[in-house]
Amino acid sequence: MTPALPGPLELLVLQPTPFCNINCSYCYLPDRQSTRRMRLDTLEQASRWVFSSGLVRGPFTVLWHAGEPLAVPLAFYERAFELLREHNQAGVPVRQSFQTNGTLIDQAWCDFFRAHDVDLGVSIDGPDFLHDKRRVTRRGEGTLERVLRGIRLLQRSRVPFGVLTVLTAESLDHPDELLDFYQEHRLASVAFNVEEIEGPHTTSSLLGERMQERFRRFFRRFMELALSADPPLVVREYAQSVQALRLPPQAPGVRELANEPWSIVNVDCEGNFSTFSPELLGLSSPRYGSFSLGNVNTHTLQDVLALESFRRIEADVEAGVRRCRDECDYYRFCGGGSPVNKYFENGAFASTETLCCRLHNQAAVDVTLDLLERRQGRPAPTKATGGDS
Amino acid sequence: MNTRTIYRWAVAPRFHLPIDWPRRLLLSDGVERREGLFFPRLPWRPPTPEELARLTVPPGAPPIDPERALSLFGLPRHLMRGWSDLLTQELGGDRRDGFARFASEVCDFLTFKGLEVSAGAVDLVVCAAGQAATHWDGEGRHGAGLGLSLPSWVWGVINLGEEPASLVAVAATPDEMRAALPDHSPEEEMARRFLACRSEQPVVRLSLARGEGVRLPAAGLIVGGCTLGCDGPDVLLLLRQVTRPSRPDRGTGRRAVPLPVRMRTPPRSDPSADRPLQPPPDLRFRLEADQAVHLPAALQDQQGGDAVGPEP
Repeated sequence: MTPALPGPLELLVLQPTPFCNINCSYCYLPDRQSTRRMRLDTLEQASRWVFSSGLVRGPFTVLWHAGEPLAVPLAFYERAFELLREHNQAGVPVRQSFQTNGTLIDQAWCDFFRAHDVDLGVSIDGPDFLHDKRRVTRRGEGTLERVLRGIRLLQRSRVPFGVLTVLTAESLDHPDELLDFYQEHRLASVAFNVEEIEGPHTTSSLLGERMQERFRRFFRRFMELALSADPPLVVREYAQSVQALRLPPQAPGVRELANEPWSIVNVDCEGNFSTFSPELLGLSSPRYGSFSLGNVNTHTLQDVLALESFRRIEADVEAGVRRCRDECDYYRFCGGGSPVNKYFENGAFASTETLCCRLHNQAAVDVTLDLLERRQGRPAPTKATGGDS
Repeated sequence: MNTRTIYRWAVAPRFHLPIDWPRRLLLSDGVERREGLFFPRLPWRPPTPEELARLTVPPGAPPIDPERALSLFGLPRHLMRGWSDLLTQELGGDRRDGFARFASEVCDFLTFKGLEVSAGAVDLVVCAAGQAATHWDGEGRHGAGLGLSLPSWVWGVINLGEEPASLVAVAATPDEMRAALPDHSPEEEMARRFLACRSEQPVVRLSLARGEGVRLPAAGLIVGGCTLGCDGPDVLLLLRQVTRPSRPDRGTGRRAVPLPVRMRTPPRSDPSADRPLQPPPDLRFRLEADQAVHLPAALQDQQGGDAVGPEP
């Protein structure tokens, strides 16, 4: 029997710089003060590596992240996009996307995003009393006004974008204020992340008692408001849960790319690369050593596949997914969770439930199920079976 | 200020209001009696820093027991938009239903915020400009002069008007009032007797921005409205506690607690007003009395009523 091919690649995370011009209190990037930048020859080698690895067997997305991508001059990306095109000899469709803190957006960036049809995510945590408490400069000043200035430029320039809001314990008291905020600034779609325990961010405000209940109350109220708004606000967690709940019973469940080897490849500004959760890049552990598995200048994919450290990571991640499949009612809706959360919360990849699972995944599915049932006036599919019969 | 302050003004927990207390609060150095009614003695003056420190909980300070506080809160903009939309609707059944829905949404919001709404009735009270003090009774009526909300018929008030509204209050608790009186008074008499023997009792005036409200302590206090210096009428949403006999609902044995919705008109006269009382403005808004609306289940539970569930 031929061994299964690794991949295919679905997300290529490229770190143009580890530097971030702001200093969010919940940030997981260990090296965000470093102003190192990816050199174009490193990027060229990374492109060559990716397209010759055998991992590219269909469309994929390039995400510029793991530092503030807009801290690197725009000219870098003009050339970077050309290089990626040059090495994409098969003409595989590639989407370009940026996740930015929004503070550096100017007209030139807007023109660039429009010209290249870039998928854009802007991080913003809501009104000033939420956003400016966590998303601050190194001098501790709030950044909301700068982000809103960038957002207004995007809107004037007709650049589509979505917003990403990190929820902390304090956010859970303010669903109405969050909705007001999104409506006031004409933000049509939002994705929620929860404050996670990752790398140097070793705790979370969401670890408190009865947090799951608080999160559910928050999400229920927010969704009731979002769905009755005119026009309704698009909420990623709700949309994804609806999609998952409507999968036919015989269809495979939701996938989690972060626990599938080589579906995600992460390359840092020096050419070091990893797979699984992007947040692992640049981190290390006593058990596995560095989560960077090699360098695009010196290691082929085959070299890394043979590494003992990679095999241990892969086996443990797989064991964790297996446990999720066997033990968790929600497996069908999440695909086995994120390895980085498992490792930094539970101390092992071969583990199951995390804070992110309880809040972000389970609560979202339960609330969505309940809302669907009430809106449709009939019983919704159960968690155990899914389906939309 | 020559009295002990028991109640303090505070921002309710889980609310973020940019309150600048010195700009919001005014003090009157006592009360005066006219035609048997009590009114704050003019002029209003800003509180001294010492008075402010005793009267208010500064921003960022730990929350205090809500029963010792007049807790300020704000409605979200989406609810205020709903209110504005309601005013543009045609008169009739849709507007009545709309008001009931709006009132219910306000209660849902406050309950989510942990303000434990125990209001059983919601009244819209419109009060003409130019009145030094008005008070509300257990039926949602209001009259001229300072009065006692005891037992606290009024759970809280919300300013739904276009301009800031004022709330006037005497910070003394009922216990303090009782202690100041030489003999026992019925509750209805207590405020008048207390103010008669404590004419130097300061009165606090708080400016409420549009959409802001105050949750009052359940033990009751002397509290009311003030429209002196206003260009137009106050429009206040009054959340009241009403104990009403429950009635059978649809023969299921379960009971529903009605939520009466009314619109009140201003009192006929106010001897303290310097100018003739203006007729109530046409808000193009009329509601029928005692329109029954089912409270959200959470509120019914708090009133001791059974939840209204589906037919068995």
